[in-house]
Amino acid sequence: MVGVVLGPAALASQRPTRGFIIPGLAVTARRGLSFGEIFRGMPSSVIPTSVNGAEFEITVPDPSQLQVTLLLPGALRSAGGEVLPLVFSWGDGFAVREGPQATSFPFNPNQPFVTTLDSDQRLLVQLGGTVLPGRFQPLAHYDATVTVVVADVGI
Amino acid sequence: MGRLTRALAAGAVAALFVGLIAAGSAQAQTSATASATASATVVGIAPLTATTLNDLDFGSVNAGASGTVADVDGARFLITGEPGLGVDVSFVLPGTLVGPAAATIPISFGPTDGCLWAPFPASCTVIDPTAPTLALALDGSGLLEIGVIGTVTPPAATVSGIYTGTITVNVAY
Repeated sequence: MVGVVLGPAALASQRPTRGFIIPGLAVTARRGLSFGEIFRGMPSSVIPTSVNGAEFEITVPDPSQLQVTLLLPGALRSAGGEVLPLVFSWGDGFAVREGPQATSFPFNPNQPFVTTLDSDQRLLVQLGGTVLPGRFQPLAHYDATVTVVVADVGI
Repeated sequence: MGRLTRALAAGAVAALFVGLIAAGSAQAQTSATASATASATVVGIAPLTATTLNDLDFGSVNAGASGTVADVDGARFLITGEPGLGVDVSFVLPGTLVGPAAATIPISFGPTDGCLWAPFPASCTVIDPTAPTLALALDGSGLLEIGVIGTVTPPAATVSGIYTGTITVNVAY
């Protein structure tokens, strides 16, 4: 019953070593968006290009046209459920295309944008924002999740 | 090799071939996501703010007479900050008001010319606006409302016109 060892399971295990998996579009979160310590009643902003801005790295195996969408929270929340408003506006997003023909441009993170990327480049998507603590904002640590969705929409 | 064995071997080879074709035609991933955390830590106390609610307006005053206003018509300031915390308050009061062609008239403030309103206009606790510093406190809502009145005494020969000056309130925790 020699044929048994050549069944689907065995074939599946051979794929990585034979290189039949095509490396795909990849997105990696490099940094979070950190406002640090803020004071009641005093809005605080982080510019996207600063070390406190969030940063995502995008790479592609082939020249691609990408649609980048950021899923942004409207507020940060504490463990106790208190809400700290968070807003984003034009210029709070910044994209850096590194590699040959490097470019960069600001964008509105509330809106998706489309850009091209070559396999020898990488796209850094940077994000800033502004938190708006109230005068009586409870003293607490607040956080939320920022998600970037990247879709290859073809050349 | 029997017929059955040859058939199995052929099938296995075919399965391997199909498997390789399937692997070779795999599509690259066309979308991807990643998430990061946004965070902030609220620390410290509410910042102080001061807002003018009402100016000190003496209206028309005859030259050679004096003029003043009721407490409820005096200058009023709203201070906001951290609820319950004490604040040091001081007034910077003018000694004159300036009018036409830089003419001046005297203005004075006495030790009972200040009001701590809690609330306005129902309750006025007298405070001394001429004191170097007043130790007051923000209420449970982080509010403090204070007022000040004064007296103007234009001399008999004062030129008619509008005379103005500035009252400044300084507040600090």
